[in-house]
Amino acid sequence: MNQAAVEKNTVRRHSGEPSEGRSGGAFPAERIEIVSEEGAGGRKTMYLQMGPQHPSTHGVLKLELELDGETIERVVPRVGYLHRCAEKLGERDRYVQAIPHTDRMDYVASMTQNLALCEAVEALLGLEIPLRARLLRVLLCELQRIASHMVWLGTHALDLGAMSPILYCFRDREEIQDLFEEACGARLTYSYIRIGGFYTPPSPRFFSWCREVLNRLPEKIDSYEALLTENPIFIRRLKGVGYISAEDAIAYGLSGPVLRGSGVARDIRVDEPYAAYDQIRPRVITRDEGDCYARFLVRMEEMRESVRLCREALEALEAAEPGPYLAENDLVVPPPKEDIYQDMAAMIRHWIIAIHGFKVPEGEVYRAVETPRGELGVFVSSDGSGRPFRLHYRSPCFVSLGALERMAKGGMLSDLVAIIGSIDVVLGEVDR
Amino acid sequence: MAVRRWPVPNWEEAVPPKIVVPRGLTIDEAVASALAEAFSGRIYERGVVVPPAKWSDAAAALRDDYGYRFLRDLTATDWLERPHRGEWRFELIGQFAAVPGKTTISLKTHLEEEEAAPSLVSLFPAAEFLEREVFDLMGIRFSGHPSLERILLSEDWEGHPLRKDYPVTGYENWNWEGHR
Repeated sequence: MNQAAVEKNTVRRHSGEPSEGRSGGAFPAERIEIVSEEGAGGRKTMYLQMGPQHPSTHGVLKLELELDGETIERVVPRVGYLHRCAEKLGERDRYVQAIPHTDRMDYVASMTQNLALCEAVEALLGLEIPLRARLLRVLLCELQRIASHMVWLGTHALDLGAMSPILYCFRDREEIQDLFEEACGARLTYSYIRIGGFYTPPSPRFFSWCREVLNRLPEKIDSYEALLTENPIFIRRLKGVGYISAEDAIAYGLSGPVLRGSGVARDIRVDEPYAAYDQIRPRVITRDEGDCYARFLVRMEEMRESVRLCREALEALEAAEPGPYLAENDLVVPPPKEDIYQDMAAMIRHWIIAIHGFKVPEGEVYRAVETPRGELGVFVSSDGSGRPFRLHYRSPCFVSLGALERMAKGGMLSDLVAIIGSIDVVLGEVDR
Repeated sequence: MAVRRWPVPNWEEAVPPKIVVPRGLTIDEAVASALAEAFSGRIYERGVVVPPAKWSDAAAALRDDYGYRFLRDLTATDWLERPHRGEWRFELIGQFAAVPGKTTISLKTHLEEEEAAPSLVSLFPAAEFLEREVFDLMGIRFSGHPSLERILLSEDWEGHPLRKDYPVTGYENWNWEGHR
């Protein structure tokens, strides 16, 4: 550790009046002296910056660490490197224009992010979404959950030294991405779910293809489990690491698999059903151990559960009456393309909705969806105009990072990598 | 193929009329009215509005007496015009969920321009990052927060971007050469 660099860093951060809000004071001045002198308890501690270019931080997460040997005394996450003003731009733009911003928040699970915003605005508008569209939303979001968990599994295992799972996971995620490409034409940032339904119905081939993929998935999940679940090295890297109790998990606002890995059965899909989750009921998977291995098992089980939900949704879709994938509301939902090409008034309506957008009645709403990472909440406040007065995203990883110190304190530096992986952090969503 | 006749819309009148409480959300009326009575607040359709001095007390009551142990979200809105009418400027909104349970409630308070809100960090550790975000982007201070500093923007950033008087392009021109 370069002493001069440490001092330069700290001097820069602590120059000037230490006013509230400008101090940068995770490591106040007296802390820094510990770096070279005998610190608290007569032990030397080291200050270490991990990231933002560290490969196992899954993006641009910077962690300021205080280490006693290899034991972690303190972790301070520094986020914001990917801040793209999604909320400020959301206030500038019309409701429809905010959807592409949500794609870029959690780029590993874009479909669920689209859904969160659309559900919130639809709730404010009082739109009734047809059953087919709601079922298709469930199908796509559960597929997205499997794809996202595959990315998590591959990178998490790679962080812990297992080289091969990432190859299998990305190979199999490719199939789901091809499926999404068939449905909407995009592979990563979809913007497929729109306010009122979908911007286009999926092709007829999508459903048969989807069934094929779903038939192949369970044995693929088995193969991941064969590689990792009983692997003694993997278990020793995860078991007992990053423990957080159920009470702490609730108090720190953790959500998703991290919370369920601590034994708290809280799942937005069950507690506040959105889309068609009131008909396709997921089983809430919990483990009581509260460590990284429990979170691993929860996610693996969730993938199997998602396959089951996808099958159910697909069957329900095929049994449902044929009809449009769009709500019936002339003010909000543009007419179907065939009408636009044949009817002047329909084209004018399409233009007006595309150019002026639509007005949303005054009011405010907070709607949450269960993304692969936990509770993504969208707060929309409307003043009755065509643009949101305030658009706020509650991102699960941002809140989960607040509990990182609680999980990592007293552990080893190498365990920190496992803990970050088990939170499944995506920095695009943290910084928004 | 028969084509549906689409009436030409009138943009000026095109406001959908109704507000619907979303599906699956239930608000416990008894908790809301008890809270409003105890902390001299008032009920609105999704929760309770309390005075700023009672903000943390009301949150503590929610957590300890009614089981709303999960702080889902904390955010604020900026009502720029209201101070001209002699009213408050910021609205602080917290969303709470009962664990275990399926009920949610939101708690609001109204703040003057330079007024600090009591911090909820000692009650809900999740509030630490959320309050820092509100401070960073909206400029609301929280008294009693252990380290209230910017979280998403850099430490030398000027202004608070989510305020309504902050322009979308920022206060100054910025270029990629690294100079402001």
